[in-house]
Amino acid sequence: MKPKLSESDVTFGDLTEKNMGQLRKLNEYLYPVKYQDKFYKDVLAQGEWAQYVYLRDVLVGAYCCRVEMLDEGFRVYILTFGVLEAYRRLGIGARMLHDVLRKVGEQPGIKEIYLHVQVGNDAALAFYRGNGFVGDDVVPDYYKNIEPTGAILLRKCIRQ
Amino acid sequence: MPQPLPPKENALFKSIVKHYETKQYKKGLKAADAVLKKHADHGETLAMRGLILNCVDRKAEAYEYVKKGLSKDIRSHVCWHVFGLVHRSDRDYKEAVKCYRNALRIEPDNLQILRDLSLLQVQLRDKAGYLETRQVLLKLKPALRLNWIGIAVANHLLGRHRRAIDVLSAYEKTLEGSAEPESAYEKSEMALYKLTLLREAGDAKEALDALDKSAAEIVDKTAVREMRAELLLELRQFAPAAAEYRRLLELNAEEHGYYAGLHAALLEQPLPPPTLARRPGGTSPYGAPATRRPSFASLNTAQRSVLLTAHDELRAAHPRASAPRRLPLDIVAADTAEGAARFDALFCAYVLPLLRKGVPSLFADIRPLYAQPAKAERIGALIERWLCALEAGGALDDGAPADASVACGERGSGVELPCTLMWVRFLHAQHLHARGEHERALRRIDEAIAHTPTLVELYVFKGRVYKHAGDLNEAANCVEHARSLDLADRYLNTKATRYLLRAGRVDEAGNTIALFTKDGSDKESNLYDMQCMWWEAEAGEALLVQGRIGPALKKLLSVERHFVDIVEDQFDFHTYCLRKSTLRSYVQLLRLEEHVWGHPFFERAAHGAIRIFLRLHDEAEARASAAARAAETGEADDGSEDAADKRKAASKARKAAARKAADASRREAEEKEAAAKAEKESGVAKKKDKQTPKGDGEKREVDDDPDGAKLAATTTPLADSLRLLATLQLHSADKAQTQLLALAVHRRRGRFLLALQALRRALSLLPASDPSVHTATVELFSAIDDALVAGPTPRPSPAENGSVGEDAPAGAAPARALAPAVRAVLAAQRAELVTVGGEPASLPEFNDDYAARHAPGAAAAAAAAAAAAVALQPERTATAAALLVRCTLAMGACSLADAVRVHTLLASPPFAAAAPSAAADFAARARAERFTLSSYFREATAAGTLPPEGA
Ligand SMILES: CC(C)(COP(=O)(O)OP(=O)(O)OC[C@H]1O[C@@H](n2cnc3c(N)ncnc32)[C@H](O)[C@@H]1OP(=O)(O)O)[C@@H](O)C(=O)NCCC(=O)NCCS
Repeated sequence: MKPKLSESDVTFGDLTEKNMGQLRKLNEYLYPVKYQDKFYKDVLAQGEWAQYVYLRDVLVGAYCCRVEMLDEGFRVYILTFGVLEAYRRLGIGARMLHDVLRKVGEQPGIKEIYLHVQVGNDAALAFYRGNGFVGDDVVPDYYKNIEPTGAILLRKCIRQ
Repeated sequence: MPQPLPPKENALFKSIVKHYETKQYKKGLKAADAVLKKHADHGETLAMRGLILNCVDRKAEAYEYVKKGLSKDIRSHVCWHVFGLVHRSDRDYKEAVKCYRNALRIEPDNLQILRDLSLLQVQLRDKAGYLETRQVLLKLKPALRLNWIGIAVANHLLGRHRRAIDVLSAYEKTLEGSAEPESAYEKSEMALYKLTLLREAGDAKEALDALDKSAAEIVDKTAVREMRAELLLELRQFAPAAAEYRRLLELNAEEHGYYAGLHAALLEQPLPPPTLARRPGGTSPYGAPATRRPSFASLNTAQRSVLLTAHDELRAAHPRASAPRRLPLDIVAADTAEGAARFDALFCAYVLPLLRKGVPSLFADIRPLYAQPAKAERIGALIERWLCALEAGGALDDGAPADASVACGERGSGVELPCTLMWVRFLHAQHLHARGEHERALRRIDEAIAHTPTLVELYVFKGRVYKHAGDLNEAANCVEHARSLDLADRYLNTKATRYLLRAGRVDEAGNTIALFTKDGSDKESNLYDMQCMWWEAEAGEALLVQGRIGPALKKLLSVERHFVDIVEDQFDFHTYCLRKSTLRSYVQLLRLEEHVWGHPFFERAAHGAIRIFLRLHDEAEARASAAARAAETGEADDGSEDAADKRKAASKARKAAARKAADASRREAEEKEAAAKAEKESGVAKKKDKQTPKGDGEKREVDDDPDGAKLAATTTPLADSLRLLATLQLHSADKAQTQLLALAVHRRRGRFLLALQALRRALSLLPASDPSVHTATVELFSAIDDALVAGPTPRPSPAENGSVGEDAPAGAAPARALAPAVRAVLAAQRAELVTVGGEPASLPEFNDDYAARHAPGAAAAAAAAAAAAVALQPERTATAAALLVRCTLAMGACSLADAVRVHTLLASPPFAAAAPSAAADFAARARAERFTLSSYFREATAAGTLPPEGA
């Protein structure tokens, strides 16, 4: 049996220069790649597109997105998106994605949202596919220092 | 002679006064110059010119002008008043009072001077003088409300409560009929003040009547209720008191003071006295204001059950309040099976919701329960059960057979959120730590971190464990890690600073605390301005460990300066509070200020500074005697192997000392360079700063001794410590440390009677079995014995030409002849204090007896006895080492600090020579058997017998 989360159990918070240590700590536990200083600088510039997520005031995850310019309009790229292992399968990831999609929905210029998922990351694939993301294309040698090196490109069309 | 001026100059003179009052100093000086051009000898103008110069910080000239003015016109009250004002601005209050009095002799009814005098009197707590001056003021201006109040306060301070009340009543009578506007707030304050006076006079009945009469006037309705409840208790009207407390709980069900009152009423006992909530260890800056806390230690079974029943009802009445669920945990006795079961149920009901909610401070809240071992055990068992259930994917249960009286709303609520497991692991780690199981605590906290690596509290706690386990460096690393997660958190910044200081990483600590000082200004002066005393005290101590004496002394003595400022700061309140009629707070403030020097911060800093002065004295002494020895023996050397060895050892020691000194001075040089650079960079800002005096006309004085080099260069360290010692003896005489330091100072000064007095006081505070008292006793009497043996023929000493010999420059050992009367007292005291089985004994006998009685059980006692033995009779070193080894065997009962002390001693030259392997063996066993995590013993075993620096 899974515990149920109430609306107020899950909250979001801003990334700041001062609390960037928390994001580093999360990334260290969530992803096999080590992010460079540049990543953290870029993320800061994204404002509300990067958020921490808290369960009863305990920091359990974060998402970081980037808004990219298209010839016409914009698209959103998900750089990182994760929940600490002990806190998965409770619907927190879904609440985070909901938060991102709400922001995407509020900005008329945004056409699509997309990301890369490492080949073999079945949890993430199931998660995104279950939330309306599509795509099977493998980008070979997307990752440099980790195995497998291939990534699957997933996308979700927001509006035409 | 009065010196009348012609009308034009007279007008000018008046303008000087006006300019002074409105702080237009330039104009004032100009006007004064204009008068002086024609009347160069006009005393009052000269004095006024001086007064203005004093305001623009031209001190030397100021005094010159004021004095000149006075000499030209010694019959002028203006000149005397001005002279007083200048003294006052230099905080020389005694001189200022004299000047005011001279002025008043000439002009007895001058209101301004009377007011100024009264301020100084109350500041100096010349309470009788204050009353007298206020009486003159009242006579001159009886219509002024403030003057009546002043008399009342003066009487209050003198303990004449009745008189104070009468004065206030008399004043109210004069008001009847008249329409003096009195604000509701002032009325209320006055009523409360009168009630306070009645209560302090000890008349509860009258106070209660007065309270009922004036309740309507009092704005603060809660204060009325509280006072009423307390008075009812005092009058033993327990039922109405209980009812009043229950009503107060309706207003605030979390106020522990109300529960204390209710408990007292229910048990028909007096109210427990307010306690100043201070953290153990006394490092909390300002203990929370005095609060009443319920106390339960001495309750019997029947009383406990009365209170528990009451709390069952209170829980029902205040379902959301936490106090009625927390307090029963203190009340219930867990040492019977039934009691334990009840405790379990209550504990679960209280703690489980908090665990689910996630309250980082939970353990601090339940920590007091550990004073009772039975409860600590129950708590441990419960936590382990929860942990077990959660690890298996289950839920928390309430741990008790269904008990209807326990509201366990969450019971059977099913599956827990993942954070609960982490909180339970955290709680368990804290539990283990509290029980001294450091390693298990570390393993548990690492599991919590693996589960939720983002929670800063976990890293801070891990640092605490390392600290207590004796690895200060790793402790600092953990807290630094926590800080890195949230750089905006001031609490973490402060914690990290403290841990770095303890680990001896002083410069890192300085950089860390600087992150939260106001940017723009340089950090040291900013921290000084903020009176950041915990920093100054702890940084001072850390600098001392590193041998950076000057900076250490500087830091510690700046704490003293803050206290001087705090006392000075009262000044503003003497007028303000009377004017605003906030008399209750005013009297409270005056009482607080009277005891402010007893604050733990001052105590700590003063103790540290005195220790430094002692060290400076001893070092100078050692240098002097080494020089003397060198001069005596010359280069005479028998060339034997033994001598060669000794030479080698000596040169090694010298080199080590030189290295250490060089280290310290290099660091200092670096610091200076950095400071100079910073100064250059901020030069512009500073200059600007200088030109704009602060609002109150004060300016930052340029510190001519920023690194304390001058302080440390003192040639009279013992004399320097006397000022601090005097304050400590006035305000912290009840602290053993104060007495031991006084003893140490006076012994070195050869002032044996004072030293004995301190020893006597120390003995009234500590048992004679205390190692520090024992060591001090041996040291003192061995010095006294030397002096007694020196014989009655006085050696040539400065005492002969009338000066006291003790405070001569260090190196000149005190060689005062002891007067026959003194010798008699010393001998008598010796016969009384240095005894074995009630009979006078020699010091070695006395020490052996101490060792035999106390040492085998306690490492510190053994160390003390052994050290004393070696000092008394160097040839007995081997026996002393054996004593220490004996205490190695008793190590099960020894603390880390004690073990370090024993090891340091074993590694010190006399022991290392007599028993070469003892230190290494001891360190190996200490590390293997008990202090596994201690960095001291890790390094000691790695480096052989060499103890690491500064542990
Ligand atoms: C992907 C991730 C964010 C999902 O977070 P989460 O909080 O566990 O997701 P939710 O609980 O909201 O899951 C929503 C739904 O997604 C699907 N899903 C999530 N994890 C799944 C898994 N391991 N296997 C199968 N389906 C899964 C399920 O349909 C789930 O609904 P359900 O639990 O009711 O069956 C999390 O697994 C994660 O942080 N992984 C590591 C980081 C990462 O790889 N990020 C993706 C690259 S940017």
